[in-house]
Amino acid sequence: MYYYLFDSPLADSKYSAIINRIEFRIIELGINGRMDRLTILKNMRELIEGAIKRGAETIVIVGDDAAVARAVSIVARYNVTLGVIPVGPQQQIASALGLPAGEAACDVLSKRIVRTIDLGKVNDQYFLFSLDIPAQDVTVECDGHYRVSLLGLPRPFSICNFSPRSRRVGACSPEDGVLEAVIEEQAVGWNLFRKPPARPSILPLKRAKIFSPTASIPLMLDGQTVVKTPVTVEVAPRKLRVIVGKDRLF
Amino acid sequence: MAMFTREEPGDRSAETVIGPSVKVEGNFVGSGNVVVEGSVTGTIRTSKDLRVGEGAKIKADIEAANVTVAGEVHGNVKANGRLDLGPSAKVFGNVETMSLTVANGAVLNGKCTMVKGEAGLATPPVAEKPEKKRAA
Repeated sequence: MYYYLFDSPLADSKYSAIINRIEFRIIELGINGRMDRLTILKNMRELIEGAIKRGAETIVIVGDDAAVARAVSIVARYNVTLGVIPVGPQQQIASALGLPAGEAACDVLSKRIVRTIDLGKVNDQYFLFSLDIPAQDVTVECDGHYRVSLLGLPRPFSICNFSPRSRRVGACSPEDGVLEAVIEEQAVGWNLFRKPPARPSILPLKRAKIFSPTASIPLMLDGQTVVKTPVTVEVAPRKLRVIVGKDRLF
Repeated sequence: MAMFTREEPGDRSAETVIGPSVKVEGNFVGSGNVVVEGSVTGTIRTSKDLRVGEGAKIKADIEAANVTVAGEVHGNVKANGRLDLGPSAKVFGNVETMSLTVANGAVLNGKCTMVKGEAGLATPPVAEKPEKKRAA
């Protein structure tokens, strides 16, 4: 049984045509189910948990990255499958999962290629892509065995579960059972003589403690949620069942 | 050793890269190919290949399948396969390997032990003398 949850910005009249087409296509493909719309008065967690109690097995989020990132953290706690119909401006997650925008995603849903992927976990919250650490003085203790710190000026870095650039870097797959600390190098030199930055540092890890010797630092989960140091980040292997398209990045 | 033939930013064979601006302290245990361009203190162990880049500074004992050194290592190096010391390599410690290549200009200060396979030392062990039969 499918359950469709439409994000609140889709109530705007500019999305009415695409929403109508999506609803029509869902019925046409025979993958219809109960539909709800998020509003200021309706909480995503309560709606999803209510649908699961009523027997929903596939939760489909219609919206952008922000809605999907919030849903990932809720759906991962239950034995259900997540689907996405991308509508809206930010669609990094959908494109990484190989989902086309709009009603074309309904066809991918009906084909139902399901993959079970890893998630990252920080203080009981799940993330799909990465935990981003700002350019401040932090130390990362990895797997209880070694510490990673930066030489020279502090630079932003991230603990990645899945990177949309994974084809280029050759790491950060959501099916490898590990997270990766990815630290980009800075370019050196001036203007014309500027050398391109060296390849990024990549350190696989399963569990890491991130702390700052000075003050508490805000860290960003999937560009949406803020958590503050000290935090423990770990991999949650094979935690989320998700419907993917053939153009997925893993 | 194919990973060490070229150094491109998109080299996919290196699962772990410790870049020039990264410092690792402690016992690093990996299961894939490792490239060190930065600073490591403690120990490094991997079941696959290890490359120590030209700018790398390592104060650690190293154990890997094949090791290529172009930087500075203060510590013992154990390569279960090949150990290649490039022209800019500086190793201050004992090395133990099956196969050793030292380029012109490389510095090696330490005891070198050549082992053969997994059985042990290359030099044949001294055969035990057969026990004399006691006279009845």
